Amino acid sequence: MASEGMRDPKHYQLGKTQFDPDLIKEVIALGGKNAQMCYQCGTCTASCPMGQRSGLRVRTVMRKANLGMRDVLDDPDLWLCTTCYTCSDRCPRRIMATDAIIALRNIATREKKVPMSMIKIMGAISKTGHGVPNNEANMKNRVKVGLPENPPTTHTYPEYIKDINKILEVTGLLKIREEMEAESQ
Amino acid sequence: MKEYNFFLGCIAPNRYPGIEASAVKTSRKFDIELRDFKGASCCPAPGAFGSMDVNAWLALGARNICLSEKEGKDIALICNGCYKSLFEANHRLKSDPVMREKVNSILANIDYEFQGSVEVRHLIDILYNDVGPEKVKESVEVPLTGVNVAIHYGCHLLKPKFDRTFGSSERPRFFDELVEALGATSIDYKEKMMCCGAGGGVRSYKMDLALDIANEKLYNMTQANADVIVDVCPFCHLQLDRGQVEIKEKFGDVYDLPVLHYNQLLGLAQGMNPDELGLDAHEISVEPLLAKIL
Ligand code: SF4
Ligand code: SF4
Repeated sequence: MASEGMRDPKHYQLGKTQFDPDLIKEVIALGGKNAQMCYQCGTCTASCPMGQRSGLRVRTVMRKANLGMRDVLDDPDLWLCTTCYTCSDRCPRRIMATDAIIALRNIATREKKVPMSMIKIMGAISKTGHGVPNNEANMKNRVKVGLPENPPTTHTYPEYIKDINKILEVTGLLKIREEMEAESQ
Repeated sequence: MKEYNFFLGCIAPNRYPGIEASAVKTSRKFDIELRDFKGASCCPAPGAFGSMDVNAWLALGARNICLSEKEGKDIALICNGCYKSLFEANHRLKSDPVMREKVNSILANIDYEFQGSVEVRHLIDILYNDVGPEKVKESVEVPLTGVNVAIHYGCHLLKPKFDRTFGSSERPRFFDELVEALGATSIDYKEKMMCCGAGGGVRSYKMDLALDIANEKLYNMTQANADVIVDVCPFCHLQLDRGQVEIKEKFGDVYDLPVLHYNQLLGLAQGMNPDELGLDAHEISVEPLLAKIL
């Protein structure tokens, strides 16, 4: 857990190598607008429905991002944000803390620290075009309400799926998925 | 008649087809035709995809928008998650030339180019701002008098508020007005604006925590004597409907509180048959509500 890293004396001995000044720049470049302006008021943490029942602390995440503490990328709680944007809407500095968390998740994904549950959703989209594909029981329910068995999406027109996979390929996501799937076997 | 390309997303067509069907049927009463949107895919899921790669998320969203641009049709949708993906992709790519260039360079690989020539609207926005509560009221054949509705706006319809057009994300009113136009009562309940818990990929990552948030909402709604939960997002819908079954199994709490998408509630008020609205496919029985109305 990230908080244990804070108490680890080695952390301070390692000095600069642990504090990466580029981290916050990466976060901002990936959409964490104004993230460097956080003045640690804690409004975000106080507003967070997930923080009330878990170890997710938005203010701490913002501090670590600003200090360049890359161990925040290993924190499993980083993936507990529901992206409800309550913290962002209430931030007195108009910081999109949610988008900063999403940016950190993007960086963690590149380092293959993304949960397999996310990779699975990518797999479903890659195969069918849908994160949540159709099934037999649902087809019957569709017909009952006067709809065709399959919606007029990639389910009916699978020829569009190759474009989706091309986008996954050129953005590097396909490779991350393949490698993580191979490693998990 | 106004025609939109009807962007379905995943959960409505593939888990709750009654939501899809009711949107088409109820919209026709207002001369709105939601037409087939050929080749559309997952929006893609903002929590999962945005979290893995923001640029891929925008590019995949833009692919859907480009398909509609080719047909010259504005997009209408019925899911807050789809709204986040497509409204934001459209808005950001229209307003940020650097972002647009970046995404278009990805799209060039599939010979697509984002033009910025169509609008992305949530159907609830169309119903409130174009049709209006008065006309919605005129379409009612079975007033839902005496029905206590716990409205769940859902997060991505309203937030982040600086990227949206609905104003307050703390005390919005438009959805309440549309529910009240049907003769029902929109009840106030504790933490009404709280998340359903499902988003951000959390439902598939740590389901117990996702359900713990839903459980708190369900408790608060029940305390305020809700007869039904009404949402405008199939993912919130699934979390609050199927979630009740999971909450019962995992935590032993039982609510049996029916869950309807606004278009299904509108369909009932317009006199449609519960079966043609797909209400029998819900996990939690809608019978107690029907007994009160019909
Ligand atoms: S509310 Fe904003 S300024 Fe305050 S701690 Fe959170 S991110 Fe920083
Ligand atoms: S967006 Fe995430 S971090 Fe912010 S309040 Fe919601 S759950 Fe908490």
